[in-house]
Amino acid sequence: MRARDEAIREILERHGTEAVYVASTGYVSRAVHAAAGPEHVVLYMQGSMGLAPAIGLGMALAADRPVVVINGDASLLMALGSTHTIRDHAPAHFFHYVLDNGCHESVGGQPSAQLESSYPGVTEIVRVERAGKPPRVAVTPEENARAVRGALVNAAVHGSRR
Amino acid sequence: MRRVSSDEGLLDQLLADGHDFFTGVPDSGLKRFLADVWELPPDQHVPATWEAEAVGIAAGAALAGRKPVVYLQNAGLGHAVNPLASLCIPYGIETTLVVGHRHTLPQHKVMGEVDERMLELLGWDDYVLVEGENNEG
Repeated sequence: MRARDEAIREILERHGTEAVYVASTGYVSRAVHAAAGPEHVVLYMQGSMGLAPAIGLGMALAADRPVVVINGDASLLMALGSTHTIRDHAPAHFFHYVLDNGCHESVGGQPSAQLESSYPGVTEIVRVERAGKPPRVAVTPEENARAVRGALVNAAVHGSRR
Repeated sequence: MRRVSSDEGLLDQLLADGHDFFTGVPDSGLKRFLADVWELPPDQHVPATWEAEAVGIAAGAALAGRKPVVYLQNAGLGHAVNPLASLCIPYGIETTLVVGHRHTLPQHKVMGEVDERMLELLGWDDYVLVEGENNEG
């Protein structure tokens, strides 16, 4: 069992500023925002519950830059099919971490279904302690999307023509 | 938005419009379009497990500069609503929906009546509704 914020800092250190990050809804986005510096590029996915891995997969397929998804356990379970799409289609520069605190902490700490020890399409499951409410993400969706587009456009891989 | 009576030649039109990334969940009403989509190189087509995932994949590709298309049958529109409302619209991410308009069988009647109005209510007008419906057998 790890401290949540320490686990996030380790992921940010491991993949550095070369990667583009996608942080899942709720406290995951808040905690990543609190841990990341201005040099990190992060999509704070405040809506679209469960879809952080799907968004990261789309980025990784269209851009030649490491993409790191930081997901939660209940969010993983909500869209478990994505693990198979990732298994079949994700390039080697796609990474998917799951912070497993065993509950829906952002909405009151209600227990969530227990994870298996591993899944296809998941790089690592990190068991973390509940760590409470970090401050809100201080960036608007429009500003956030602009920053992420700016970081990905230089690494864009254009689809081959028929 | 636009309604078309057939999916014949639809992929070529979308490619001519600059679309270069396709994802979604198949529908029998889009058979000809999907036969063409499955001929695309793998860097232009990723089949999804459900429609919300498809919108998420498309959104990620759009953020990296692609012009994506999500294909689905109208029964899957409900799954697409949350990512359209909470991701694509607030973050200003564009994707074109190609929707098979099922409407005759009992399980499709209700959605067949409300699919366009649902999209209109959301404020999402970037879609092609394909009216041809495959109900034989």
